[in-house]
Amino acid sequence: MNYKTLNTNKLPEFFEKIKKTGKTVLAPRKKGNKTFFATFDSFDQINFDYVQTALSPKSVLFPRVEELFTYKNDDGTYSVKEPELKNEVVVFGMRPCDGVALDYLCDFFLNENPDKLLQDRKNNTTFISLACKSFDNDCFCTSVGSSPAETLGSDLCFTDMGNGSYYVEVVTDKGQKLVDAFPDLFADTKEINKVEQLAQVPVRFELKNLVPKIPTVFETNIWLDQSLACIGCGACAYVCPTCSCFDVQDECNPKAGTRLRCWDSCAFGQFTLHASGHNPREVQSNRWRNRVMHKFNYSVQNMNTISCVGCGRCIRVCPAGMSIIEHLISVEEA
Amino acid sequence: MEAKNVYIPYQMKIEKVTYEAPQIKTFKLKFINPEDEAKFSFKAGQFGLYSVFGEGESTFCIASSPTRKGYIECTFREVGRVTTALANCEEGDTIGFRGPYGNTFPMESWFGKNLIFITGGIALPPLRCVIWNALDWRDKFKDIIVIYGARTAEDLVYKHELAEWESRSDIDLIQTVDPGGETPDWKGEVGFVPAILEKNPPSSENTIAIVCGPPIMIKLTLPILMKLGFPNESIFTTLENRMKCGVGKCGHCMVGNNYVCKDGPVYRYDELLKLPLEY
Amino acid sequence: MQELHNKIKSILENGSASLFIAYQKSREGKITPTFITKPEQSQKAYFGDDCKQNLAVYIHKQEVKNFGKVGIFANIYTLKSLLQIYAENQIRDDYLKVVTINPNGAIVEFANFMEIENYVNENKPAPNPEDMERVEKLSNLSREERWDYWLNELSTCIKCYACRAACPMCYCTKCTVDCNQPQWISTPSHSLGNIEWHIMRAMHLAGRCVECNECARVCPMDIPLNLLTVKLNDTANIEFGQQAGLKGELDYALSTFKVDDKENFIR
Repeated sequence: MNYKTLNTNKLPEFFEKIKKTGKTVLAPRKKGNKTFFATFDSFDQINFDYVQTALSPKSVLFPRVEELFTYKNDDGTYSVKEPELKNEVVVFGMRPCDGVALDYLCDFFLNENPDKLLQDRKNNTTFISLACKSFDNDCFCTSVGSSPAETLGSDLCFTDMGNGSYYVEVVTDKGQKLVDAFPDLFADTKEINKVEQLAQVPVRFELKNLVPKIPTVFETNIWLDQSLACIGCGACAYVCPTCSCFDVQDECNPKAGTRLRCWDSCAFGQFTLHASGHNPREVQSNRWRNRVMHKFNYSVQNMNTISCVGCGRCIRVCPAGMSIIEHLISVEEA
Repeated sequence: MEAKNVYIPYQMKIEKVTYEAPQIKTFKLKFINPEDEAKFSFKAGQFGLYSVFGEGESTFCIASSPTRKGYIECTFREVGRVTTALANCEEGDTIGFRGPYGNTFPMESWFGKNLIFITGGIALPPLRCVIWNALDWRDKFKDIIVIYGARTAEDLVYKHELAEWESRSDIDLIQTVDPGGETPDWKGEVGFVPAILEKNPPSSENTIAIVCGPPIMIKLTLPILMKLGFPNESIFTTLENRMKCGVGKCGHCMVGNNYVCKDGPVYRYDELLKLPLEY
Repeated sequence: MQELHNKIKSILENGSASLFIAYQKSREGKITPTFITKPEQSQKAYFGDDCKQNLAVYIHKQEVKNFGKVGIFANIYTLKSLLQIYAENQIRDDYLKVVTINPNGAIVEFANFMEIENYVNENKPAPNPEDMERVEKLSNLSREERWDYWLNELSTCIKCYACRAACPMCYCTKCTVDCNQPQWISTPSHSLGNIEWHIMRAMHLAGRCVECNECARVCPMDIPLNLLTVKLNDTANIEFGQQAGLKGELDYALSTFKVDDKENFIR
């Protein structure tokens, strides 16, 4: 890995220069009490005072709705056109946990039956994480094997050293390319111990106890107890940086149409409903169990990793105040 | 690996539409692009996603045998938006097809054995593929028995082929309809499939049982097979969870850590028992 | 709080409910619903100004219904919702044991919906002045400006359906958006699909919304969805003199037909 520094007051110039190359820059912006990744016209629109963005950067690779293809219908003769994804994007300000999530997401979508759309978007995107100086009660990255110091899945990782400069870890070739494009902004440096600058997120549960324990409670009442409060919306899945389920929908007029994929959630009753009316996951507790099992057991079986990065978004968004931390602790204690 | 957009379907011409039973039709489909046909091959048990442009995709098995080249067939019931749109298609129309997806029946490992197919209603199509495949490789297998039931005589699918199987000496077909579903000239059995199986007990010796049908039929059939001495390893079935992508991504078909679309749809019973009851 | 705990305890003990739904402060310090089945768990119940969630949503949930008779601790909006749900024939009088805490801090147990009706009419919550101001401001915009405002807000919707799930008045077993023969509403979360969805939902709530503002509170994208239903409620009130959640008997303009209706199209 290469190491650089960037003066914090050079950040606006960095973004302007990136934009001049035709790339889109997304950075955290405030709306109401929440922060979202968005484009910006001027640097002062960027919000640096946030623990976590409300939505994860997964939508850059896996948009909430995207075209699979379009077609034209010429009297029953169909001509199909694939989307061409050319737009180059730089995402700034995601947290290191999101990098871990993107690494998982890419692994899931690209390793077996690789997904072209996600691959193209990934090739076109550079992810810059901004290491956490603060955390809240819902952060639990250190309980799931990550930390604010993590660089996995980021192309560049920025740490505000508190001395007017960012310490920049160049994690990937793509990150290197971006840094190399603006040599006058970045200065070389050696590896620095950044941990002192970072948030100290407490460990809430022991993953090594939890992972083997979860399948053993599959048939218990624990899921019903935990999920009676669940109202069956998809908010947790949609804000989750690793949730990847989707639906496929067609839209058309008589001459042309589009096949789209859009986010879906295993929390919805319709998700598994058969045309016959039979529903394999009949009640909400089955759906809640599936969500937790997927993150902490099925992913481990299929991909040798859990698929929760401890970003805490599902907790912050839950209309009923459900907390995965609490639920995992209750599994650990069961 | 270079990724390609797997969601682009093959374009297929509907060459023939066969009315099978109320709300059930069979399409014979031919590839419009000869290059697509040339690189296409599948094995018994696999499925595809059939689509009407502008309406969406629907999942069903390939109901024809891989031994019959140059076309595929599918049989479907009109139940939702896409299947209704399909049912409204006519001969000569173009539809989309993606596939083949999923695993296959391990037919090669069944060589030298007896096969018994136990099925009901609209679940014959996935087994019809295997049955014709076995008949086309007839010398590889010993006895072939088919027990097939439907609610009424009218609801039986592939009536013309059932008649052909009746007349052949190398396949035993036992047809049954639910009590009250018989017509005055009904020659077959009357009773539910599990009861008919019990009445005509096959030997479990060197025999593979392939069971496919509505959940209740499967639930009542398995204990009878157990009683007849079929080991779990000799029983096969298919799962038909909801699917949207066919390639193990969309998550709809998951049963435990299994994606039915790629780890299934064919399951040996001992493998099925390891999965949670979410199908 | 002790009085509330005792009330829940006695309701569970005397068998008038086998499950009691209340608020609690969770181990993580969150305000969450709690589902109390044993009298000795009654002290889990908590109440404060921070208890915002409308608990009426749970009486539609199958796994809650499985418990049989249900007790519920209701804030004023939950009471209004329960009354509206009752008026719409979705619950029976003997199915629910409803408890609230009155402005003097005393626990009130309702014997029937008539009592709830009287109570909510005596304790009508004042409209939220901030919301009224925002509605007023939007109403004063030109049609084009208003359209731009909502297009901008609704285009961010991710279609997680938290608004629907949190709303006690959204109790249909199959929502219009889930019906696809025909596909009334475009399900993808592009701008058109989002606008179709939210207009449809708002129309279905016109004159039925109890203004608990749950839809806005739960929205992950912070879309002020309540302004739509508040405005439509206002219209229903002006045009038909209707206010939701104040009557135990259904009087709902959008499902009522009168032979002498002044409009021509309806004849």
